[in-house]
Amino acid sequence: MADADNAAAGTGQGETGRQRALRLAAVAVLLGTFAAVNVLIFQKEGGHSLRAGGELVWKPLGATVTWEGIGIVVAAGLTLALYSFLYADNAFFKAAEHLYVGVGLGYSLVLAWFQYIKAELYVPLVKYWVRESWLGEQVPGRPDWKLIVPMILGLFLLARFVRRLEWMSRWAFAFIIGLGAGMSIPLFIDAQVLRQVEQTIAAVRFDALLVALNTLVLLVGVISVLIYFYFSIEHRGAVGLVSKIGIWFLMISFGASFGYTVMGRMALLVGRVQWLIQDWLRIPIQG
Amino acid sequence: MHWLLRIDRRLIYALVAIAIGLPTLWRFRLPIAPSPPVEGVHSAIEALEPGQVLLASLDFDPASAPELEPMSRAVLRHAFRKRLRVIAMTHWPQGVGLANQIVEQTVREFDEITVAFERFASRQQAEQRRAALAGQPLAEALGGPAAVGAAGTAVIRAGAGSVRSRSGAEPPAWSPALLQALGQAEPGSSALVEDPERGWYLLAVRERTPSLRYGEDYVFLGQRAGLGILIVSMGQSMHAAFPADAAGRPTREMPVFRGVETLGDVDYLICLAAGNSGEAWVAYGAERYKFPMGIGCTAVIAPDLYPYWQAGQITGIVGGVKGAWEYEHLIGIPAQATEMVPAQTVAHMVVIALIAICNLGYFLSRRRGGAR
Amino acid sequence: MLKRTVPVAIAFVVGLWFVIQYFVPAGWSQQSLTDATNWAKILLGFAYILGLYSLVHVHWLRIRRRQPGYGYSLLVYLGLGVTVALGMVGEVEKAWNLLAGGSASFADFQTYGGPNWTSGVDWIYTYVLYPASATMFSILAFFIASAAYRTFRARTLEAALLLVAAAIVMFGRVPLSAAIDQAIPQFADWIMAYPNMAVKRAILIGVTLGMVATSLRIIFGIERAYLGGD
Repeated sequence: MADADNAAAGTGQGETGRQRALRLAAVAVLLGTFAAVNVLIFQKEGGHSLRAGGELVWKPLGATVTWEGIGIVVAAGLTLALYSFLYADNAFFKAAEHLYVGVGLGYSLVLAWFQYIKAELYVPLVKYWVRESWLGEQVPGRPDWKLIVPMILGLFLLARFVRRLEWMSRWAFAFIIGLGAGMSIPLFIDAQVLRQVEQTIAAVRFDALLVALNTLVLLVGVISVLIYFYFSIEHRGAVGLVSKIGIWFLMISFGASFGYTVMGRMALLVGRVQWLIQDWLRIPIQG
Repeated sequence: MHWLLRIDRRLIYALVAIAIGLPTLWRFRLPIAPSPPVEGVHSAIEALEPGQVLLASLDFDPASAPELEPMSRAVLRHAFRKRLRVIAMTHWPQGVGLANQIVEQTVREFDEITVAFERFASRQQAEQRRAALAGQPLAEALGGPAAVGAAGTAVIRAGAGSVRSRSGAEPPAWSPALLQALGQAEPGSSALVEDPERGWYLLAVRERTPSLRYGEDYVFLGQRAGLGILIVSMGQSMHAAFPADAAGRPTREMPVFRGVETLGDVDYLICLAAGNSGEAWVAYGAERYKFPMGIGCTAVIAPDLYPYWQAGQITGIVGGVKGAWEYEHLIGIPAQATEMVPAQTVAHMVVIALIAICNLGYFLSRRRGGAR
Repeated sequence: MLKRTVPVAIAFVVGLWFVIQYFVPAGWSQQSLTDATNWAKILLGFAYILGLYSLVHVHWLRIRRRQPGYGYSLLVYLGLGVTVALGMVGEVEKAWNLLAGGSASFADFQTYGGPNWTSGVDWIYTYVLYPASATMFSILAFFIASAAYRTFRARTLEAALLLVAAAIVMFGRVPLSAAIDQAIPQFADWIMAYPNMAVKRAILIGVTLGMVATSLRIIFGIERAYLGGD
């Protein structure tokens, strides 16, 4: 237990009493500031807003508190706790991270029941057994008997939990894997090989200097990279040269991908910062 | 090592935070020229006729929302403005709540919203008026017989950015931010709005009348497992793949599916992808069941999609916030992406500067101390 | 026999049939694909639940073994428990009504939550799951800036090519570059549409051929990793 407490507080090893006091004080100041900022926001907002409010209305210290308001404080707290990782790994980050994992699992489970099991098996099939055969009710519609197959195979999958019956789950997996593999082969060859080769050749045109250059870049690029990835021949001599060109092309493409990745990552941060400034702090925007 | 190569990582973090925070507070305008890949998606949707079917696959979760939410909303606004039938879904389990919110909120923007307002010369006057009306329902009192400021009403459709009708005094300029807020505002809610040219407005939402009907104009199917297998299943039979929508209502009787038995009956598909679902839609869907499609995606995967675009397998690519910004510009409704671009631009410049600094430091240290 | 031969045989028969099926447009052939994909879709739902269970199990083991930091795993269970409770309370209520009196007003079609709880899961999604998930991934923005600064050095010709391409594309995607010269974004567009596209196409062709080979190995029972151990 002491071990867990230690980990939960995120203490570093070999910390002196003075350092510990300083650290706790810093945490207290940060938490106090967070609380004070939230109280100020609620008082300033005063319930006048175009936003849709929740049902809960509670007015401590003259501020209007709604479920939405509480939600925004929780969200802001989580956001800041997770960003605290940028300074150093700490207990607040770990707590927020684990809570997120748990909530994510819970949400997925709830949806799995409603979307995968209830909508696909209970309503079209099992419902009729439960309500017609068992409870003797009249239910409109007819059961979809074909669904017995996935239901049985689904139970086979769940047999994974019983060690002696584990082999049953392999039958179900073999069905899914076999279907996926078989179905994909013609489609992938068509969409991602034949069409690609066809359009590379279709793009070959030399009617103007620029067009000819583009054609050349396209052809050299595709062929040299393919040769670079073809390991069955030794990369020496002419083949070596072509595969070297392939590397250059790859580098240009990786550079382009990197540029786009920066763009994407920054956008994610912009989204969060915007949320903090506009939705939590409610600072009016200039311009 | 040269000092230019030894900047502390936390300083860099702070720099990035500032580079994004400041332009979020003080926005500036930027020149815009839509690029061909984005135009490819826009013109394909623009060419559809009212009543044709757009399938929107919102394949992302909150982790990529800042990049994909703006373009999802822009595409949906475009579709609803053109009165297309919209079938929305997602391949991502944790994206269900988000996709549902995006669809429902965009639909709400197309409600006919009646706004009552009074105009004042100063903020002080407006606040006095609000204080005087405290306790009364603002939506009724504003612009009534006892109006103090110049009063009027307007009926707007926020999502289309259009004013259906108005009476009385000149309404405020319908800025994107105001339209966005009004789009979601409940009847009875009120706000104080500054119009730089006309003065201060106290406005309240009187009523809203829905114009798009669930199951008729649009539907949200939720999510099922399988990706490629699900796509083929939809290609064989939409109702086998999705016997029920996200709320569990049977899809078979919904008028929105009139004439849509399989994927082949869809007039255009837009996939908004944070992962490989765009490629899956091409290989398993468009190639086999023959329907036109476009992909909106996070910037990270945009470069990978160019081969499909060049081969004509997709009509266009909307890549990241930049693409979403161009799309918003093309439909004439600046919104979220337009707000994000200034901050993203500055952040971009900071990263370019960091790369320049590190290379400068590298060359200086090499020249001074030999190769390292 | 039951453990190895039957699954391999299933994969062979199913796999081979659905390669051939692509070229058989007859109604019964189409129906087989409709049914098989529908079933597989439902099965993958079960498989997804299996995956969720194994994640839950990891944290359960941590708590049971009192591993360092197991307190955090309790938080996983707190989040899981509250979300599932709010999501399923309506179902439990309905099941109870059904067993107690078989009420005729029993609604088959309803999403999570009971009458007063409907918004509970939505609240958690909007104010816990959404911000936490978005924040976790936005942290990468800081890391990529720091990584760009620390590793992006023009040490070799290849590294220089990568660097220059990245800089041009990045700058070309910034609206500012168009204000300086229209040629900059155009050049960035050209890099994307030609050299980049050529490489991505070559990779696509290569990867697809690899995937097709793997699929064939699965169908013919050479590749059996999906069956797990022993």
